[in-house]
Amino acid sequence: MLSFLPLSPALSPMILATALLFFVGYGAVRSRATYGSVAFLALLALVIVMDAAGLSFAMNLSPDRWPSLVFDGLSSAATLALCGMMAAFFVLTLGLGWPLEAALLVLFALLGMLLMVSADSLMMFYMGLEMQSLALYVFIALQGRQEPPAIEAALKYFILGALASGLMLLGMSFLYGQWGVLGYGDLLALLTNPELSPSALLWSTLGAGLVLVGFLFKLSLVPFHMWTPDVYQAAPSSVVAFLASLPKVAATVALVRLLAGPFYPLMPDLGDLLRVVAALSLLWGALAGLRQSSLRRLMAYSTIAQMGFVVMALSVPTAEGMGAALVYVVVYAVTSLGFFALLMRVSDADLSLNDVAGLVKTSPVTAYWLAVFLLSLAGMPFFAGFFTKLSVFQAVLAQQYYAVVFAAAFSSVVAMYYYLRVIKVMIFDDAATDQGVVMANHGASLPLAVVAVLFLCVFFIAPGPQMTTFAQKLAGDLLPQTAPPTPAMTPPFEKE
Amino acid sequence: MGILSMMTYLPLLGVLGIVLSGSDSRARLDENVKVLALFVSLIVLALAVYVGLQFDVSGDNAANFQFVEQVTWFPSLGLTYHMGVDGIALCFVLLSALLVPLCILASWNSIKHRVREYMAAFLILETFMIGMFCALDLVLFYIFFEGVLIPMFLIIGIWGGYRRIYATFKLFLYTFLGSILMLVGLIVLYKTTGSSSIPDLMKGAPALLSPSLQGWLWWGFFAAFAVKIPMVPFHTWLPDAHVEAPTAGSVILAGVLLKMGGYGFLRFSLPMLPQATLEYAHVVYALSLVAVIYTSLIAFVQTDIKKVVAYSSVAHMGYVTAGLFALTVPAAQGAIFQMLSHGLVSAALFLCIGVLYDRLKTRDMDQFGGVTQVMPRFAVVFMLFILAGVGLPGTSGFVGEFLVLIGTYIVQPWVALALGTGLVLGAVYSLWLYRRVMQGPMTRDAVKALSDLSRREQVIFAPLIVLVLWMGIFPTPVLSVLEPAVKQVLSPYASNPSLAAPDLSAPHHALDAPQSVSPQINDHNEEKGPQ
Repeated sequence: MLSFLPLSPALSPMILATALLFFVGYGAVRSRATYGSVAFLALLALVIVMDAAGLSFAMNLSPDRWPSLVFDGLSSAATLALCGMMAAFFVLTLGLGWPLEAALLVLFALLGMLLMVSADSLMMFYMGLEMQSLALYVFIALQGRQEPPAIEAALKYFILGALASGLMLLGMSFLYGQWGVLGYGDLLALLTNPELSPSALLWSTLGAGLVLVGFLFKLSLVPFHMWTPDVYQAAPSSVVAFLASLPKVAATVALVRLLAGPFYPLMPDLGDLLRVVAALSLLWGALAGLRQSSLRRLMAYSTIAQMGFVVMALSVPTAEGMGAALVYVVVYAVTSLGFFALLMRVSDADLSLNDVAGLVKTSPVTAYWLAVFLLSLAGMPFFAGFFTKLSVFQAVLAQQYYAVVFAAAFSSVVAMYYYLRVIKVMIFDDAATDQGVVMANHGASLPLAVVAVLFLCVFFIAPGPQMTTFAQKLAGDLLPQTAPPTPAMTPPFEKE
Repeated sequence: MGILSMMTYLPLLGVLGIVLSGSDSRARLDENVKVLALFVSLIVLALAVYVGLQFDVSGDNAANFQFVEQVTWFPSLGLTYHMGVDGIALCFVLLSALLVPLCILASWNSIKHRVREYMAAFLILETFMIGMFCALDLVLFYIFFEGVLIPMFLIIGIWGGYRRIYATFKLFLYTFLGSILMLVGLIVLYKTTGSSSIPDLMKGAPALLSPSLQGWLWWGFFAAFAVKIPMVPFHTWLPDAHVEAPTAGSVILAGVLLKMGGYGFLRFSLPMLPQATLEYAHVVYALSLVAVIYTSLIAFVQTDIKKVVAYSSVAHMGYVTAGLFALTVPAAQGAIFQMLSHGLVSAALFLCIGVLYDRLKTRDMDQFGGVTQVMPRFAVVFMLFILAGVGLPGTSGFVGEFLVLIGTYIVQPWVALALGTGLVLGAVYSLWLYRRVMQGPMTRDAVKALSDLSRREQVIFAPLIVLVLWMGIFPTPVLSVLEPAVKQVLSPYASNPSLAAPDLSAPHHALDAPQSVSPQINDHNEEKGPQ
């Protein structure tokens, strides 16, 4: 008997969005409805959704399976996180006077993401991913009315994204051609067969590798990162706040499902691939960020390095590693959301470093809070970013992958330089002009920033320990209940 | 909440007060904030003194960590909130708690803009410093060790001198590079032994770590502590940071932050990695000797007074590292004593320089000369601290250097001899500095107009003078607090015959001697498999 209760979180934004689409399409409400009113309605719906997700989360229901969908602890936790961030985003953008379509597009993107985090087959996952991506391409292009460069950014994002989707489909077709199934459970059962023929292994690994390419594109990892700096620089800060938070969480959760599920038997090879990509992203994200003068472009390179940490944790197929990746990406998303929201207080347009020089004189709160976000991204104790980095390091070092850890350590030091440079410009330098930094005070960013700053500062007392334990448990439940793939731990460095 | 936590977090409460404080006039607000910061730091000092008085020096507990607080914190990451002090930590806590109020007093008039932020930064700094000396969990230690950088970055970057940006970036990035390697080492240490408690690891880690792993970890810790203390050739950030920092920043930098490196060696490298320590001790000796002789020579050719003292700090820290790695009880005691003494003396010297700088806005020696005639009180104070830096008997500087020389001579006579030359060189540049600044003819008009120490400045110097003389004349109380803890730290080397009983005629095979280690945390060991 299929129950609709667990499905309701994913369904309600879809119903809402579709209903809105009809109304708008037939011009029934066009004259009166605004972005603000729709966002407000959506906000109410999201609260209900979050209640439902929280309820099923608290009741700790046993996994509820639909065809191609699964509703378990991870999906309700992810739904909760995504809807919460979505609500925050609506609060942030209520007063921006966006066109009505923007609300529809982000709602469709949310729907896609909710399908992604609950997907139990490659097909459903791909549908969710495409729904999310297409909505976002249009969402960015929509900003072109105010800021023409956004159209270029949207096009770049679209073309590269389409390429990545194509590669991903190719990989899925390899898997389907080899095994004839698309469900995660079926794939896992077939791939765990100990007598896997070499050619089957090859095609499966190749297919899985190509599927990963799509993820690496979404998470903006080297060498699939090219779109990130352009999009971050060209789109308004409010849009970047969205791009840098929700899609990253959704992609990470979906990736955890794949790596802890059907791809688990292939992890020895895929893990190496992921570690190489992670190391490249860590290094390039740190080094290329050094020369940036545009603040948002700099943050794009920071994102690339940050996502290197996530993928580094994901490359370790243990509850520790997957749990670390989940907490990392949630903390990262909150940081980004808060950072770009705060940046909107200065301006929604692109800012060069000189534009925020001496910000501390105009608005000490903005300057010091931005510094908190930057220090947390840099991994300074006692902010949340330190603990998430620590858990990633622990997970990776427990499996003795030293090379990638040293890449991460090097990257942290180099990236620290550009984070400090932004802090220096804001807090130490004098303003470029006499009247100081002109504040635009876009949107309702202050309450959002307060919550985010608090989250980062008290993470080590309140949500941090619990979140980490919980994420490890969720990831542990997903992992196949077989013997661990790695040998029992021997003292490190003994291999030489 | 235990008294150590109270001491650690009380300054944060002060910060909250500063953030919330408001007043109609700017000047009044600044005044209130200063009083509040001073008040909070004095309470912390009182708490620290109380802890010192309650500390069990001679009983059964003397060698153990006392006032221990232990709470589970991040269970999934294996972190516990674990605080406690032994004799060594206690001394450093007292030193930190003493210097912060002095710093706040010293900045009373010299800091004129962004006073609230300045005082908040100092209180945050105090939290991190005291927390670091009390922390008994690997990661907790790291958090405080690293956290110090944030307020220090701001203090130099906002209130520093002309090249402050360069100096503060250099300080931050150098230290961060070192400490992130230490972080990797800490995690490997935790993952290998299954324990993150420093007291447990001090007792049990040597037996669980293979010699090659010890070697890797040793270099990881070395990266952090050698930069922090600092040892040649990782010392170049220090002169820059000192020169650009405001007076109080220099005081904390020299007085406490440098000691974190030595403290780290005492907590990690010596007790946990004995085999690696013996293997690489000669590296430390070599670098220490270079530090003592080479930086003394560099100090001699400086014209900036602050740079002279900065380089002399590197030279003094050379004694400390040599003493620590001599691995004998007197040398280690001497090294710690030297750190405490240097904490007071160099802090006082930077305050002296601050006195001059506040009046003349220059630190160039050639701009002075004959200051003694117009500032007789200041001349006495400055002389006393210059002589304490040189190691004049009767001052605290003498005791530390003397013990280091004795303790090193037992195992490495040649190293001790070479260290001895540093004493001479130290006297040369210190007295030369004093002569050029304070004595000679008074030729400059600006110098003629100088006024002697104000009441506030006398209050700042008084406790330092008393302590430096007291520690020089009657060092026994401090040494007896240190002794059990030092013996505990050096216990892995106790069976080393050439270290325990000085036999000067026997050849010294310190590096080949067998190790005694007592495996005590094997019960943690079972948990270390992949989860």
